[in-house]
Amino acid sequence: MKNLYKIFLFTSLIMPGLLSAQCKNFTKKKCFPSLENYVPSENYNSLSMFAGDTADLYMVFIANNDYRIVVCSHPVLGDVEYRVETENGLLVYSSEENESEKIFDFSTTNTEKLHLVISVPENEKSNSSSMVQTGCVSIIVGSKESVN
Amino acid sequence: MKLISRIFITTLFIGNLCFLQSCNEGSDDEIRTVKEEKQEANANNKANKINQIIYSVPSHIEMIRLVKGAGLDFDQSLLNPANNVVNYNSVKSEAFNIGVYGADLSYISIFEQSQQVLNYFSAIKTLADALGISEVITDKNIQVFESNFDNHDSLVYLVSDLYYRIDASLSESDMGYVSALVVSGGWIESLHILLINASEMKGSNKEDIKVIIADQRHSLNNIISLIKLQNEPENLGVLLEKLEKLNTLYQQLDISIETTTVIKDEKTGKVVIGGKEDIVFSDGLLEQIGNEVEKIRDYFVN
Repeated sequence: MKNLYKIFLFTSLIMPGLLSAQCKNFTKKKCFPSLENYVPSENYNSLSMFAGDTADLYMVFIANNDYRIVVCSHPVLGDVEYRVETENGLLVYSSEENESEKIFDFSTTNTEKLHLVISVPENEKSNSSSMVQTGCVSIIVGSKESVN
Repeated sequence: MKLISRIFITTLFIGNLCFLQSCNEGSDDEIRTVKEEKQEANANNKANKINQIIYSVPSHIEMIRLVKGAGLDFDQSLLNPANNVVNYNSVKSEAFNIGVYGADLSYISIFEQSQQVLNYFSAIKTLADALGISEVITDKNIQVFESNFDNHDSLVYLVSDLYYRIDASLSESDMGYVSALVVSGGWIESLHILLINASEMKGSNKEDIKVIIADQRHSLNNIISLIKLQNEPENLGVLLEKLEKLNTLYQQLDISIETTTVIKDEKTGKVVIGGKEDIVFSDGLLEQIGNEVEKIRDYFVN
């Protein structure tokens, strides 16, 4: 019994570090390659989300740059959708209206504050004995100077 | 006592099981599902769904590109000397200045001053060690930096990647307030570089850089929101107070028209976000904003 508790204690102490590293690794391995030749932003925007959760991101994009937004999620969460709006609520992009495309490329001529809304679908099999699904959702942004 | 320690250990273990089901996306061969017998409501009740909020600001690289884009020359005297690193002995000063040095390293990299890279890289490593995030700069990272001193594009990418890893480590170690200090330090240093240059400029170049500085109101708002979200008045109270004072100056900007347009180029399919805004930004207000930024920088850097 004493040994079992020692194992529990050991696991409890080291597990958070190991799992955080796994989420970071997921982003690095599965999401970053989609940025291609865009320079990645320094902001770490990764979230652990459940089925049905939403997230709001408020991001600033500088004038005269080309940007790429990639929303990348663990497959267990299903089709995570996102939309991009201006501060005044003008719709800029919706993955739902673009065949669930998770990569959005755009250019800016002004500095803009944009609002990203991320939605994880509800678990369709949800019932009293359902499995609650959770996974990592990463929003990565890359930039490069506009050519024009 | 024995019972209490067992309860404590059991709680820790259960806590980590909860954490396990939320973050173990690293391996693909496992299906990440957890049976939550007692949390039926969580699966069905919309009221229990979590809405998470993130505020972010442009990277050092994006900010410093603006300096180069405005036709400004490299000026070593604008930087925080790397040997000042020995003066930073509190979490607040270490965190703020790792951000400052990040902006300086971006400035050096974009202006291809490769001979300076190692000094600033060493200063950042010292601060990362002090903050307990030594793993972000390994011997391998140092070798990669050293072998890319003369490769401008690679260096810019490596600086961004380094600060991404710093932010990831801090965020995932529940050190959100430290991350907020790092972000603030980088932003203040970039703004300091822009403002000092602006004060020496004249004519249309000055008007162009004023627009860039005025645009920083968006980032300032996001940083203030980010700090408030941390709910750490003891650690972030002074910084918040100073940034809110700066914000009152930014609110004096006279922005008469502000519209945003979203145009999709039918040929390329590319979306262009733009619009028009008329900003009246007096030299007096520019000077006041410059003074306030210097006060914040001096408080943490010197």
